[in-house]
Amino acid sequence: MEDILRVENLSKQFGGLKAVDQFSMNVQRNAIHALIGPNGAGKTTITNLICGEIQQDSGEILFQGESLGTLKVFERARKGIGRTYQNIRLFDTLTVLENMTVAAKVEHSYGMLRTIFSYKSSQMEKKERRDKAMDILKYIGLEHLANEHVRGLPYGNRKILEIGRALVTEPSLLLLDEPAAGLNPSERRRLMDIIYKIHEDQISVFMIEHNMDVIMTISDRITVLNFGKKIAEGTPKEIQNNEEVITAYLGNRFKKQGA
Amino acid sequence: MKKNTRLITMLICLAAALLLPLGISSHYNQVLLNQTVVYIIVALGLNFTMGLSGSFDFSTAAIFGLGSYTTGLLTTKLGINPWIGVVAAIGMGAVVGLVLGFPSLRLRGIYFVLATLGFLEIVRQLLSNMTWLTGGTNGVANIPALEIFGFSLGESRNFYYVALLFLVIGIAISYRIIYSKWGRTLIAIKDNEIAVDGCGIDKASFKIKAYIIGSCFTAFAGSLNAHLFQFIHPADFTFDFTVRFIMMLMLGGLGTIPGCVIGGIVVTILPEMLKFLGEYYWLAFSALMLVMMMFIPYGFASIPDVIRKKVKRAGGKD
Repeated sequence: MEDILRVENLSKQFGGLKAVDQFSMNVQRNAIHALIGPNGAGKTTITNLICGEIQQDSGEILFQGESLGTLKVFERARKGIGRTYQNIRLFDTLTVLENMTVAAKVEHSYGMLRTIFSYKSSQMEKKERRDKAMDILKYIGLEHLANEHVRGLPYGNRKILEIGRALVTEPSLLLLDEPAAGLNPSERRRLMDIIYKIHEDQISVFMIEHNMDVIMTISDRITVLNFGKKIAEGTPKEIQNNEEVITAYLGNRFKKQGA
Repeated sequence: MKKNTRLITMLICLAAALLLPLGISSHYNQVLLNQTVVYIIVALGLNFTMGLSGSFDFSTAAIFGLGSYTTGLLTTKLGINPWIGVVAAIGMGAVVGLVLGFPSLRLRGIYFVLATLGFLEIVRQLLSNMTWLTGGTNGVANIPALEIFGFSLGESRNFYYVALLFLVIGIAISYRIIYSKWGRTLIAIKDNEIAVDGCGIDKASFKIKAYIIGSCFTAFAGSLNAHLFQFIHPADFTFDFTVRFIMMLMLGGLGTIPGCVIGGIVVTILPEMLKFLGEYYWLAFSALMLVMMMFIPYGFASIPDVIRKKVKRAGGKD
């Protein structure tokens, strides 16, 4: 299958620490690809490198066959890389709907002067943004909260809303940084349903996650990272039986389950 | 229902503003009122940068001054029609906004604040020292008053009504911007810049355009001010003057239009009302500001919300 994202020999050093060391990985189109590893293994650094928050020291990142080079974060996002953050980053003083309309990718986007002087254009753009935002809110099941302020939202809904905000930018690759962290079992169920739905709608998903139930249930492929290096890659089954992964990260519980 | 309430409130305020001069007999108070309207326009301009996107902006006095000098010099030295001078001042605001904002707003962090602070001092020095052009510390005198259909606006009631018309237009433009993607995105930038990037939004472009339009408002108000007093002086456009507008926004409520209006009125008129205290009036005013900031940190515009919440909570208990 075709790769949507290719990471080749990526390295990043912070002072004396090699956070990412000669890391290579391919994410297949329409797959759910997970990146796991112990704390401090360099998972978030890799996500930040892909998004352009930080620049690599060496190596290359290719998205849909094109090198991302030194493109800025917003330029990469426009190319189709959407993301969520480990510590939720929402627009707290706006409403749920406004969080979505701000991010929405629309056909008609008008300049400031046109917004001021043409009532018709500004209303048209507003409606287009609102319709699109409402569609995605329905998709993630938050439409009943559209006019609530984000600040008062419970944690689980905030996490889901962040995924919605990434979806409304029409990404072809969605990066999720620990989507299940802090969710209770029923919220986790809801999250997995949404990730499945995204997957079925032909959006590739790349996620960092610690929750093994989530990872083993929904991933097509798993990459394991330790000390900035890739130590294994394969299907959930292969990973569960990989000796090195078990010693470094999983522990014996998963071996027993697999056997 | 909520929209209707807002419309009715606005109409009542407008009616009050129209009737207000009839109750004023002294020339001094009329000029004060004219000045208040001009200052509210500046507050609306500053609101785009400081109120919405949250970056401190100290250049207000400099841009106001440049607007004043643009029309002041064009009309006195070249004898150009004052209205053309006003339009030139708006152009000056746009140019300054672009030149100052373009490099500094692309950088993350405090660079924009420092750039505006430096610019404020540079403009003041230039205005006082380029004597051949600006008249130095003598200022520019005999600036002609604005005229409309042969009526001189001078310092009178006529000026007030024309300035009020401009203020209403300024408010309309502000509403358009604040309640469109422009305003929402600027607020989003204040809330979380990193996430704005992640949504594929070129935030620098939003901030620069907001700064440019804000500068146009400020320079326009500066030109009105020059024609109102018919005399300008470099010492008028100092750091203190900038702080006055920052105070208006903080006190009125950042990012809101009623906040700009209320803040503008309070900060311009309250010190005058305290003048009976003699030389202590500014001290008393500052102390009052401090107390108000402690009790209503989100400004006057937030009072209805606070009351609504209190009522709701009380209702919930019953």
